Parts: sequence; C-alpha cells; structure tokens
Amino acid sequence: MDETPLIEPVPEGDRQPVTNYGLICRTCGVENTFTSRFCSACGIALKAKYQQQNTTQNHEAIVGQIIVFFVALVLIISLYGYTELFNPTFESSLLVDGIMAAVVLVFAALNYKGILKLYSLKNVRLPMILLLIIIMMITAVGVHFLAGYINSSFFDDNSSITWIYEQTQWPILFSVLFIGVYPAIFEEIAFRGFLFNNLLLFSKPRSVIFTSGFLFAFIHFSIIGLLWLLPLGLFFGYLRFRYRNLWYSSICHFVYNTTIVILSFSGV
Amino acid sequence: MESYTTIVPKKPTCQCCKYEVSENDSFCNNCGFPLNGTDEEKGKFIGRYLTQKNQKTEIDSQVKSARTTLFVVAGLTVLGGLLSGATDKGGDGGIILIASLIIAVIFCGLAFWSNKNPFGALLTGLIMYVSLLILGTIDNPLELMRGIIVKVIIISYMVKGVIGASKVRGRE
Repeated sequence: MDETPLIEPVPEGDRQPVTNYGLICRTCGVENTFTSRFCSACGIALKAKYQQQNTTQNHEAIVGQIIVFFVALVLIISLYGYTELFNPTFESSLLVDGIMAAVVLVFAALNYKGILKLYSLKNVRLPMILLLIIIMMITAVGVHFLAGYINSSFFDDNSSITWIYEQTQWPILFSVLFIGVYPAIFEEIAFRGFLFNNLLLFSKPRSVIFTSGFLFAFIHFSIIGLLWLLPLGLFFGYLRFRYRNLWYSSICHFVYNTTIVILSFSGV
Repeated sequence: MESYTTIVPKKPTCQCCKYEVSENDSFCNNCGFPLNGTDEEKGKFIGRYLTQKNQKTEIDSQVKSARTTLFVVAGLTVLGGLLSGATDKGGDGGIILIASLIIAVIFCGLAFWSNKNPFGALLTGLIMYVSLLILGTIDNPLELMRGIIVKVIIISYMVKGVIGASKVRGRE
C-alpha cells in the first residue's frame, strides 16, 4: 500500500487567509473548506471514511468466523432440541451446555484481546447496577405473565423451562446455575463479546447493536419470543456499547433469567 | 492576496477527478491527488484511484444482487409455506403458513434494511437462511437435496454480498 506523502506544514503567511469555520487538518494544521475530503497541503484524508482501507484486515476470514460460529451453534441447538441424539436428561443437557461453552470459548480465544478489555471494571458503578437489577426484575415479571398468557391462550402450551432440572436433587440450584448464570456468562461473551467486536470492524455502532440484538433473538428459535428477546438483545447491546463492558449486560441477563426461573418455581 | 482577486485565471481542475482546485494547493481537496507530484506519483495515484472506483462498482453490484436474493428467499419462503401448509395432514397447516409469512416478512425487512446497513442486514439474512436450512435438514435430511442448486446459488450470492458489504465501512 502506498503511504500518503507527508510534507512540512505550510507557513501561515504563504497561504490565503480562510474563515475559522473550515476543517483544520490534524496533521499539518492547515484549514480546508468544509466540503474538503483531503487536506490541500499534505494530502491526508480529513474524514475517517476517506482513509485508505486497511487492506491487511482479512474480511473474508472474519466473516467466515462469524458464519462458522453460527453454524456450529445452530447445529448443536437443533441436534439437541429436534433429534433423538441426546436423551432429555440432566446429564445430556450438561453435555450440550459444555459443548456450547467450548465453542464459545474457542471463538472468544480467537479474539481474546478485545473480549478481555470488556471485563474492565472502569465504567462499573454500583448505583447503576442496582437500577439495572430493578429494571430487569420488573421486565422479567412483565414478560413472564405476557408469555404465560400467550402460551396458554394461543398454543395451549404450559411446558416449563425448568423441567429438566426438576429431575435432579437440587432443582432450584441447578435451574439458577444453568438458566441464570450460564447464559449470563457465555451468551454475553458470544453476542456482546465475540460477535459485537467483530461486527464493529465493519459497521457503525448503531447497526452493530441492531444486528447483534436481532441475531441474539433469532438464535433462541422462538417466533413469539422475538417479542421480548429482540428488545432485550438491543438493550444488552446498548449497555455493551455505551459502557464498553460486559458486566452490565451480564448482570441484567442473570437477573432477568433468574427472576423468570424463580417465578416459574413459585407457580404464579 | 491582491494578485488572486485582480487576476482571475481560469480555475485549474484536478487531473484525476476534475474537481476545482486552487493554485496553491498541493493536493486535491476532493480526491487527494498530488497536484505538484512527479509524473510517477501522479500515475500511481490515478491507477489506485481507478482501481478503487472499479472496486466500488463491483461491491455495489454484489450488494445489490444479495439484496435481490433476500427478496427471492422471502418469496420462496411464502411459496414453501403455502405448499407445506396446504399439504400438512397434522392440522398445523395454519401455524406453518403464519410462521413462513413472519419469516418472509423478516427477510423482506432485512432486504430493505440492507440499503442503510448492508453488512449487518446481509449477514443476518445469510445466517438466518443457513440456520433455517440446518433446521429443515435435521427435521428431514431429504429436504436438503430438494432444490439444492437454488440453495447453493442463494448462499453464494449472499456470501459475496456480505463480504462485499464488509468492505464499504465508512461509505454512506
């Protein structure tokens, strides 16, 4: 790739005076008109979008990673949910959760630097956490009753999300662990970590929030669920973007899922 | 200062993009062309400029094809829903039809969204399409072979579109 030649800053006297409302080149300090894309004195791009594309970035490889990641997830989910390959027992659900976690960790490892940064405690504030906990509990209660209403009135479906753990010795403990804690860690690493970071390479933050939120909702394979999963996905993505960490979205995810679990055990 | 206002010469234009430039500019404001550069520098720049321009047109057409593909997928989904909805003997015909309509609407929505956010929309479309293929195949392995050529064509257009769109970051 050719380097843009940098020349010495042009002395002020040598140039025509211009208004104070132009664009000032950050490299050489010369003012350019608002419509300028490149500095007239040093030729450097004034707006990021006219910069030379970084050709070393391997678009195909990153897009490939994202697609392979989703194919792996969908394969596991559908083999578990729609075939007889795994028995509906607690042990096989453990096995599947283990495989999923391994897949997520492998892809996270490929991008570990960007993901580790998201575990910085820099922007984490206690009052914010408390506020989010309250918001998520209220949301979970609302969704619980809405989902219950929809499922019983349209689908006659009262299946519980915790049934697989009810066969075990400690149903509540395992339900909280595998429905509350597990997704709050691994789904967040997958969607707000790996996917979000990679999407940010190619599109604007707002588009990334929408894309990751939608894919998060989609992977749950529930058409009715889109009603609340999509807003949740967008909200988690927003938290990830706004505060640049995974703590808030993980806490929200945990509180939300755990509230649902507790409500479903309490039988309301 | 005087000399610029009294003598009004015909304004010079950039050799590369024909944008109006000022005489004391070293680089074109519009394309970054080195106005005072050596012939070699100028030649190199124009070469690169044209390559980029060609690449842009190519990417635009890839994205456009992928968008059309999304509409086609939406149409095929409705068609599939109608066929399997009508032939379903389990009494779930209505639900199958509604589900395919919702999925078709999502594909259409993604196609429209790809005007604004080509990368995200096309990637989502591709992932959705492949996921539904996997689900369908696991439900009934023979399903995969039905219209396999169409499926391969759809995936290849979508993949090209996604990779093309990944290269337009920053463009409006």
